[in-house]
Amino acid sequence: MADSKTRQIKVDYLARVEGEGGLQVKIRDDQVQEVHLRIFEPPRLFEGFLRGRHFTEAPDITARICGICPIAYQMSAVHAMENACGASVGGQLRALRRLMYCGEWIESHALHVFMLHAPDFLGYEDAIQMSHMHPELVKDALYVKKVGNEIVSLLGGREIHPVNARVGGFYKAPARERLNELVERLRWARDATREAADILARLEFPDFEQDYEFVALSHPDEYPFCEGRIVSNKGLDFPIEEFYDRIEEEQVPYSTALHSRIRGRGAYHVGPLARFNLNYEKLSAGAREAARAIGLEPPCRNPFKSILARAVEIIYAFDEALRIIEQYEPPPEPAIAVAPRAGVGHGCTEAPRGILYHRYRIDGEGIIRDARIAPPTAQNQKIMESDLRELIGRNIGDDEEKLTLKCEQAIRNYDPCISCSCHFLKLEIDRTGGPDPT
Amino acid sequence: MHESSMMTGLMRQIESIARVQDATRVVGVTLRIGVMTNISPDHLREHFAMAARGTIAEDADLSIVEEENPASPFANQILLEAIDVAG
Repeated sequence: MADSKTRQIKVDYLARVEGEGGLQVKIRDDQVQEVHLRIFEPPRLFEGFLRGRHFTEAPDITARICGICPIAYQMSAVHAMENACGASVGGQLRALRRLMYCGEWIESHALHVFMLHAPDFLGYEDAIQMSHMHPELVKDALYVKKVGNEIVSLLGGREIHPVNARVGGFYKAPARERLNELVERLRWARDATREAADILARLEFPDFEQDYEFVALSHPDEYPFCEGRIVSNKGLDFPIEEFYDRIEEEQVPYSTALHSRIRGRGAYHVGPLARFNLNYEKLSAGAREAARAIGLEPPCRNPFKSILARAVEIIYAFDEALRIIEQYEPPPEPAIAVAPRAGVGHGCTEAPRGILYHRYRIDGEGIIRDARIAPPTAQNQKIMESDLRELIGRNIGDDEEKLTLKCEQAIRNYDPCISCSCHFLKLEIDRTGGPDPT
Repeated sequence: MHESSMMTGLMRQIESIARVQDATRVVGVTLRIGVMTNISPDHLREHFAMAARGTIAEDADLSIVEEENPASPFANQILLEAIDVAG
């Protein structure tokens, strides 16, 4: 194959599956005309895989949708199945589910705040570059993430795609001593996060207040994880069963992910900032104190400050985990019996990135006949596009490199699943009629 | 289901290596596929041809080396071994 005019280059590169994102912008006479955030990750067809499977398999199948937030998928699935079968999990089993969810928020938020978002703000290519100047911050952040993983691992059986959650509860409930072993590390990591939050508060945030409709779960007694009504700052307040009566999904030609909108209204914002704004009073006293100290007050409408909301939620998750462990008594059985019955079930929980809704129709034998899943990143797509439109409009004279960096940061505010690849954005700007960018 | 995402990543890698080498064209690509990879050489060829269209590697000659050893650390991997560039 190689002749005198060609050279062979040895590479040895492992081909990997990566999330894919692109941004197409049309500018005419210095006006942004069109902004298309393209997600060209091929369709993954999970809703199709679920059809014909037994209802008890849903938590294990849907956990594979995401390696960062498998608990969210498991929790939305088990709650939906229990809802369909008329079962309700309470007491210590319910508390253990919240505890496992705390672990997921900690590891997911710590990854995003310190490994992806903070390097953006501080002008580093990635966390590895950042570690040269801020070694202690990176080391502490990795420890915080590790403690989150330990909770998931202890309750879920393993860190990634855990296997211990089931419809009705768990396959195995932990002994008290096992949870107690975590306490000291949880306290240390909580304090480390509190200190790191002070560093985050000194970051420079662009002035970018937007008039969002924030949507999150709301529960009368607690900061929401698995239960509550869906509420917004602009008057929405409905039970999760009405999700598709209030929210519609639309297919757009340039993305494989469906776009969501509130029927008759439009785009909405889900995630930590929405939760913080709508549930501030339900945060632990320590988390509220941290929020005040770092200057984060509800309502905060600046998406760049979502990094602060995530930090506050990490602190909350530690406080809540410690509270649950302190009150823990092993349940008599690791799960309650749940018998299948024909019907439709709904589950909506607060994944780290925002509300994650599942709906299943099952038959009398417990076979899944239909499945619908609305993940938070899909729900945030429209709001990401509107942020980008606004941001590009304000910085229209920037060259492509500067603009790409700003757009990446704006997308990162939503911690979309595609952000796994550190610098992922393929920016295509089509400009005519305006002056050449300098 | 993941093939096209994987191929897009592979093409990006090939293009960036070719760019660094100041190559005008990629004329050959050698991939090694493990015996545990869930993809057949024919299937891989189809995806490669599709992903290469319009890139610097369009019409590149694709050689696929099949790794038969299931105990190989790359048994379930696709490895880009080498590329041949012109210019």
